[in-house]
Amino acid sequence: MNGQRRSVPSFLLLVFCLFALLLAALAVSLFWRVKGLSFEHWFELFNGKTDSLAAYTVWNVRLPRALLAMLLGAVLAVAGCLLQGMTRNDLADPEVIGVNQGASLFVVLGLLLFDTKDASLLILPSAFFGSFLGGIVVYLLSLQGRYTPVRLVLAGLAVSFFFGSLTTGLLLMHEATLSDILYWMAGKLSGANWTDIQIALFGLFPVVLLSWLFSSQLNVLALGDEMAGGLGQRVALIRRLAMLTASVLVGGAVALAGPIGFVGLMVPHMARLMAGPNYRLLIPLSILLGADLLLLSDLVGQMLFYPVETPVGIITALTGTPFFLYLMRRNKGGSV
Amino acid sequence: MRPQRMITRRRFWILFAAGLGLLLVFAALSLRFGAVFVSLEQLVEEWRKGQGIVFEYRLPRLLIAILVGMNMAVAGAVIQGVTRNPMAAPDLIGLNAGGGLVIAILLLMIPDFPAYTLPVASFCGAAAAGGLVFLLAYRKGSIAPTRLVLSGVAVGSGLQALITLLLVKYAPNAAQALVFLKGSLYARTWPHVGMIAPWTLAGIPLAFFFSRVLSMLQLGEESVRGLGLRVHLARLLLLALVVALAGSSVAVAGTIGFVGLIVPHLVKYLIGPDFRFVIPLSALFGALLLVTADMIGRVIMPPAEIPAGILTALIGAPYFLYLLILRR
Repeated sequence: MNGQRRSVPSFLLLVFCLFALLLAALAVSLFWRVKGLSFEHWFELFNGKTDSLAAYTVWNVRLPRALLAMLLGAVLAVAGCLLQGMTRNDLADPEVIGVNQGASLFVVLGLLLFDTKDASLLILPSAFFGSFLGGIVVYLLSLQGRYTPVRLVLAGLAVSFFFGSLTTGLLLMHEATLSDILYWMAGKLSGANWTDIQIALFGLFPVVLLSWLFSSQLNVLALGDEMAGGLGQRVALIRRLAMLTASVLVGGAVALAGPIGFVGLMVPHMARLMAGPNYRLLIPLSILLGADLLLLSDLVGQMLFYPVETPVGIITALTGTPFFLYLMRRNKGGSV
Repeated sequence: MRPQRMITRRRFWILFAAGLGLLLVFAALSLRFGAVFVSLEQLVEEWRKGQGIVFEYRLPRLLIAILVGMNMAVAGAVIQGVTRNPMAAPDLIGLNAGGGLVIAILLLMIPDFPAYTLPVASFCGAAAAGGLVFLLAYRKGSIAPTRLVLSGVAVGSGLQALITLLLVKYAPNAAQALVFLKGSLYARTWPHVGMIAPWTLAGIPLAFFFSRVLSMLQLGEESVRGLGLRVHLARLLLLALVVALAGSSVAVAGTIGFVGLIVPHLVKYLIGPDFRFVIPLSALFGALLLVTADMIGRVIMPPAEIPAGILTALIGAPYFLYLLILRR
């Protein structure tokens, strides 16, 4: 349907437009409603005087947050691409499939078991571990050929439900920490600092770029297991590697900002509508689109009930569900 | 053919008797145990006078556990039959999220809302969510099972996001809402029994009455139509029944997950696919599961309680994963 080859110039134009959108969103998120910022001393921001409150807000509160949103958007979008390609399933997403809830469970468990002051050190490994655990379940499910998209979604849902119940159970037993953790679980970017950016930039972004190497393999895998095997692809190995990469990406994103769902679901589909099913173009486009989407969602989250912030995970979930429904209805045959 | 049916029938009665026996044992235990020790003499005493801890708190709670368990399990059996999908369940198609959202709104935004109207409101929420799911899945005069399930998933997660939004916004007071959302039988009394009992008493015989239709629906669209059954009408009626059964139990007990998912599975594994046997046994084993879960939740670390919904999830989810991954 949308599988026609786009010409190179039109692809570049698309990339350019998305880039412009990203810059515009970045500008808004940097300068929107900064206290004490006005046109008169606009230029003070750029001449190195960082002692004013406005400059501090822009460069040390707004900028890290926007950068983190962009980086994690890209990370989640690429993870969604990998998951969808690997399971050959349109509806795969870290949220739908149980990876996010696995990470939440282990973070909550970690926070309750080890009562540390410096939570970020603890969150990172436990989120990784949890998302790996969730990922292993998905991997086991995707191995079996009889898993149609519907069954995979249902299975993922049951897995998430299980993890979710455990998490709520733990939370109920320790009401004191409840509100902090609840807020984290809704997915948020508000506390972003430069360490987070460093982790995301040097730890996760290389993995994002690496996953572009998978693109030709994913293209082959899209033909079906047997065809791919016949073409000489080591299907199981590719799946395992893709799953590993996706788990690293999602685990990192969850550790930094809490579970943010549906970015991985929406972005690859939008990218597919724009550029066709070729993963070679799909993955770079997803990086850009994901950055756009999460940055915009975070902006909406900040503006919606200003000055109270809405966690970005809720915004993405609320936009993601209609999208999910649209994907479902678009499939006319009812096979999905 | 004939001997096979005889065997199934005998097996059904054996299972029925065993389930009933276990249910009675666990019901008696659940009346006996709890945060406050009650001796046998006291129990008899209370029974004669018609008042006391057991009569006022534990007995209605036990009855609600039984009724909710029956409702959820039968609703699960019916929806699995209608969608012909062994992984469908009332809690997976958004009914619970609908009821939960209404509860969260009322508990958090209108603090002095009269508590006794909560079940009614939550029932309306569940029914509305169910209606929305059907509407989204409805196309060209029919509800395809897969579309039903997927729209349920989507509506459920959207509503869940709204619930989280509310919880985060009103975080300091969220614990109470969270207990309710996770499904608990804490502090349920006689008025609650009155709210759910009519639905159970009407709904479960109705489900049994339709069990033949359910068995026929398993044959697939064309053959059923060949048999002269009005498939769409039957599906619609049965789904309305699911909403009534599940909605009323969400209304009194919140989200109690996995009962509707695993009990019909287990029963089908034990007795085979004939819905005339599956429906009554599901009701029985659903009641048994929930009574047990509620009792364990109370006994494990008194005076704190673990909500029954969490325990059913703990028991149910590993079984479900076992079904998914290991079998076949």
